[in-house]
Amino acid sequence: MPALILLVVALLSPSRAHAQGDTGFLVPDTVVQAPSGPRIVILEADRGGVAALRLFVPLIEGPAEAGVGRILVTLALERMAGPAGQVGARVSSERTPWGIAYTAAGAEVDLEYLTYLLRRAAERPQPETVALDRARGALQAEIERISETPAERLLYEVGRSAAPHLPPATGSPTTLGMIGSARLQEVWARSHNPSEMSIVAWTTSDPEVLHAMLGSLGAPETTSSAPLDAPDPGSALAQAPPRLRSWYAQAQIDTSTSDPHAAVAAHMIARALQESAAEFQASVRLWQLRDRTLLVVSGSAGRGRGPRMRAAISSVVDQVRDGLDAASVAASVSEVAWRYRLEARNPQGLVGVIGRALEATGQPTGAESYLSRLSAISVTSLATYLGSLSDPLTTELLP
Amino acid sequence: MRLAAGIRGGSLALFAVASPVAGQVGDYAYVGVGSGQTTSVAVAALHLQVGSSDDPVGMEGTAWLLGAILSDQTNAALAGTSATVSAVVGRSTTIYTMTAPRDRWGASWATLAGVIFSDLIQPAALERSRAALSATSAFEGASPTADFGREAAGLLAPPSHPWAQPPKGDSESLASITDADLQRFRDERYRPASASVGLVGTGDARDVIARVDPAPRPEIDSIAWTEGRRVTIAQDVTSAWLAISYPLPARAGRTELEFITQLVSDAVEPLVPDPSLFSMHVRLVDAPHGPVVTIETVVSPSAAAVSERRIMGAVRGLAERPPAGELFQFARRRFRAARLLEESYPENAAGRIAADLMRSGVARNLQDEIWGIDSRSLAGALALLGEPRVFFLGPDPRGPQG
Repeated sequence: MPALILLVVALLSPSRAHAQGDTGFLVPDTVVQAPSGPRIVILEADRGGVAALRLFVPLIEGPAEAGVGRILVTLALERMAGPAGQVGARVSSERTPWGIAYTAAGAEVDLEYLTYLLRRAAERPQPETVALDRARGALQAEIERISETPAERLLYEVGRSAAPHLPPATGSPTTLGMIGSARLQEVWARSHNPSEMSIVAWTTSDPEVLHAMLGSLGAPETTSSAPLDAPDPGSALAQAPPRLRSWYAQAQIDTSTSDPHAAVAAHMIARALQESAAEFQASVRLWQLRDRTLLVVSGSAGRGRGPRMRAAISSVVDQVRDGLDAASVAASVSEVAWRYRLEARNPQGLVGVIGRALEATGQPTGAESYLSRLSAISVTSLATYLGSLSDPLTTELLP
Repeated sequence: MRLAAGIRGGSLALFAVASPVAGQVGDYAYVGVGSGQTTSVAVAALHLQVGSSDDPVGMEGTAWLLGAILSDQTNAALAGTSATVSAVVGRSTTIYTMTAPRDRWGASWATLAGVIFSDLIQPAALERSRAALSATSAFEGASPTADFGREAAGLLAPPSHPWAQPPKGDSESLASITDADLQRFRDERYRPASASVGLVGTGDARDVIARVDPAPRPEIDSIAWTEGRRVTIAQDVTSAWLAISYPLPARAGRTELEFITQLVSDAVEPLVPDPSLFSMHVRLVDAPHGPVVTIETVVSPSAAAVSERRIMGAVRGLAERPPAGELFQFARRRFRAARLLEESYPENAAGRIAADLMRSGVARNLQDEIWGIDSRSLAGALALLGEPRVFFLGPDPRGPQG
């Protein structure tokens, strides 16, 4: 049996336990690239007894296959859930802007079983009509809910106008109708290429041991191909039901995918809008897409208050930029950093935070870099950031 | 000499406080530090032996109101620091949980301790919390949930025991509580010397807390009741509510009791989705005279009798045929994973450490304890399950004519 050879790409830190500084907990201990296999990012676990693994599979959908990723996510979760229950492990799968992430967490002594769960997640979907119909039906119901829920419809439409080249993750009734077992397996074979995958692992095991446990993941490399090159068959939503309120949204594009200024700006805009809470309801959302980030401000107001709401939303970014001061920027930076830390407070959260940053930037240290850059944000840098956003794209739904 | 604590299995450093320490923790009975867990935040759980069963007569809801006010005041005092505090008030305990940045946990803790034990009750905070609690109380008071909770709790305690009284009081009792009442209640009941603290993510805190020798674990050997009972309340509601409770042998040890609770939960959950089952919760309850496993379920009235028989049959089957061999190994493996995953959240770990210390003076090393359970000891504990007490609330099973 040939010896396992792993290429150590970078040893980032002697140990996170010894890493000094505020962001050390986000620095991986070891990163290795397995030959013809996934990149493995190890976070050395403590004695808490828990292991957490996040397997990422890049996926780009062509316009005519929109929704396939979400269906693969649903089917993978069904394959994992039963066996996970046998040992009390927790599993999840999610469609991210960049692909699909499968997560398994449980007792460290069950690590081998956790890797088995990931293999189950990444295996070829079987052509089971009932399961496929169920997954497709759930997505169709989600699209219908978006169609008739003003807040969701508003976001959907403003998102489409801000990124028309990116198919909606839910797909559309037309594309969902085109997804059969053959299409599903084709997309799976194209995307589940082991050498394109990455794993972020919180474990006490060495990368060699983890790699051996993972065995053969996904599809053979030779099946790789490009996304289906067919035109968008149309993703317009069904006509919306009558409304009682005015709904308005504006989206501004940030062309990066990991600039911490975006979260601080969103936080400050939300605070500015709180003062108008008696007049109308507003919300701020950072919407992460594959190649850009959308800063979406939306709101709804009762009859007669629509114009004031539109005016307030339209002017809020300028208002925040004009009112920037060191204290308020520092407070928002601190709050955003704290939420980041809270999310990473246990192994499952930590592999999620580091994994998502890795997927967005391609860098195992993406999360640490994000937190470092966050702490360096100043009044000047934030003003520059706000000035660099695209002109607003707007959508309105009237009564 | 005040209280001491021990170290088990090397993953917990437990200390008793020798003297008040500058800005960190005060004169607490027990302090346990979870030192084996890396986390990006610091969490402190303060566990007080005060709950709704301590409410003065006519002022039911005092403990709840005080918990809400003090967490409100603490959060106001911590504003701008990122640290936050929440309070959970039970029938015999109050737990404050603080989550704070690791590099500022000491200062945040000092703020919390100052507000909880010393600061005056602020009238504005009192009125805000009273309004919120009164609204909750009025809403719940008009639903079968309140009747069910009150009557089901009554079955777990001796007659007229204050443990079973409605924990949140009612709008009348809440309205009668003044800031002076709360101040007095706090002065009498909130004592660091009878409180425990669980810390996670704070470092080992050795520089601020003196370490002393372990205290012996007190021998507990009581049982909640020896005679079963069944109580039915017929009410014209659309669902049937069932609470089935079994007394557990206290000497079995906490981890074994938690394992039994998990096994009961697994046993009573239907194997296939049951459309007549609306909800089911299985939990371990510390009743006044001993631990109890309680199964609470809401079902369609037509399925109530079958559900009751099914649940009792499943528990009886578990006691008569406890898991052995590979089945036991799998059940213990599932339980271990579930508990470890639960404890991977630092707030859960800190809360458990504080509760362990308050209960026995020693914080458990969960991995070792779970691994230490064997099928024989489990079977012995299950064989000691007592007679159930059953409470039914729902449409009269005999029909509208009674």
